[in-house]
Amino acid sequence: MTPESIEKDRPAADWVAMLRERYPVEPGVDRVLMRKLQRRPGPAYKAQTLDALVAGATALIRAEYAKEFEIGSARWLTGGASKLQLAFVLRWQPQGTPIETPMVLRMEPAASVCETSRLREHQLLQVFEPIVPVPKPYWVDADGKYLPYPALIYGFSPGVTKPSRTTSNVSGLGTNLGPQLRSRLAPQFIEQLARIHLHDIRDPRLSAFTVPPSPEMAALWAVNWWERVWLEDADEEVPLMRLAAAWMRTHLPQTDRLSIVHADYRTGNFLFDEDTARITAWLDWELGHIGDRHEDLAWSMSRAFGHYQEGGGEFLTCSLMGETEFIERYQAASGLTVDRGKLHFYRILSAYKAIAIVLGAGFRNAHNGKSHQDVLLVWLMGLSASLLDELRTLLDEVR
Amino acid sequence: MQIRAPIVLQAVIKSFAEVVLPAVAADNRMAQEQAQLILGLLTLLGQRMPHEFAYDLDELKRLAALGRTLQQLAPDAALTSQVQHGEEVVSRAGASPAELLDAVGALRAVVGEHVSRLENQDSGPGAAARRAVLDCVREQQVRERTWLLMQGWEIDPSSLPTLESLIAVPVTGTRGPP
Repeated sequence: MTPESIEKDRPAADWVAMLRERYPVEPGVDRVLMRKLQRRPGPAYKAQTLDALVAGATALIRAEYAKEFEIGSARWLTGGASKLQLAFVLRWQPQGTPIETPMVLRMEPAASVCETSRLREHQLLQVFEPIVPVPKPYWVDADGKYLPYPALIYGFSPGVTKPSRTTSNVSGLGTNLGPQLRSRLAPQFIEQLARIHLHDIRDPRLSAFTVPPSPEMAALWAVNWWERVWLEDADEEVPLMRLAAAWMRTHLPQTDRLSIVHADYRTGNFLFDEDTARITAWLDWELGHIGDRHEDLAWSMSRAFGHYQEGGGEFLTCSLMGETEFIERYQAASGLTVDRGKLHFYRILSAYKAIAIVLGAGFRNAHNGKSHQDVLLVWLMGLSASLLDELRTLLDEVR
Repeated sequence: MQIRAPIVLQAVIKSFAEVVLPAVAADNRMAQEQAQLILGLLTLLGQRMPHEFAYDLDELKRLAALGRTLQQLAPDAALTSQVQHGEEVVSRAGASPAELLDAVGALRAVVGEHVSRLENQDSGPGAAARRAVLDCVREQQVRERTWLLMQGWEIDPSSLPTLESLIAVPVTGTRGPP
């Protein structure tokens, strides 16, 4: 099959079978990637009204909660690039007394720039609710039985992703937290990442996850996941991506200890209280999986999520601290070592993954009109230029 | 380079029609009218933009033919000169933008396949080929980053040269004074 002969908007069964055989991934990931390709020839995203989603949320809650309740104050939320989000207030009596609970409905569009499972996201929120600040998970509509597309409902978390007197690009990218917030948020950022990585991967509540069966499978599954997304979604060939994939395949690191990986751990994905500088919630757990801790560290260190210190100083990881300080403080907080070679491998994978998301999936979904914010996906495609340059630089350093 | 007019316009029109337009106050008649006009103009642009080059080339050919006819009927030095220039431009406009883009895409695909094959070989020009790819990417990415500079992704925007200095073609229109 030559690239010219592949009709990605209407993927042929033999091409899909070839991808699955050549790029095996964790079963839960395979399911969502298959679902994406099966749905691809189907209709574009159908614009949803607040009323329709409130009706869907009502049906979901009614199926899970036997008593009387009422949904009010529904409004759209923005912030993420991949999911549709609606805030509302639930008037109910979970303990026998009437209360009002602010909640969020988080629903997939027809196809997402990050194709993931709501059930896996729900399970991770359940596991980590007592461990790090996360929105309280309530209900999940894993297959879109009650809502137009799969969705989950969790508690509304107060806070902001960036200081109210600053600007950033979309999805919290390029946020400058400023020196004062930086020093107060950095210890929490590190300490909470360590807590995530130290949690037991055999937690029985993680039934939708599969533990990589061998020490190098964590890296192989991760490479396969994102190479598959790239091949399934990208429009224009990028020879550098070929080079990067080939390099990663011949340099797969062995994992010394498996961890739960958040996989989008960065500034812009946590909420904090501006007055107390306390992190109130970690969001966007949808890419979470069991893998190598270096994957999270490397992702956080992407150039896309940081900036240079004011006045021409060092580069600040996630606008929080220098790279060396980040690594040292993580090692101290977790008691786990950081292997520079593995870190570099995962930095290459992180750049590759980010390009697959913004340039591959972003293009395909906007091209097919599959999301509620195609215009945001097209805007995000522009990030690929600096990501490709980061990938080139990282590959150059290992040549 | 993937952020091109067709996909940008498609996404902008969808966002405008489905999200922004319904939110414009119904009693603001000027905003309502201008919102509809914006939608109409963007739709017109989206439909016609792929044909602009062919449209202009077609017009130039027919104008040159008309000029040559008129010049034969009543010779005029300025007309002769401009007809010759027009015909010369037509003769140089061999490849359309779509053909150019197709050629870029096809070459990217072949190079990509070639790179994969080389990387899977135990011997051969591996290191030199990798070096060539990385060098080419470095040059190309400077151009793409500069092209997209206004989006605000660069952590050090001042490090990038101007677009004009990189692609060495005039960015202003070629239309002469009236």
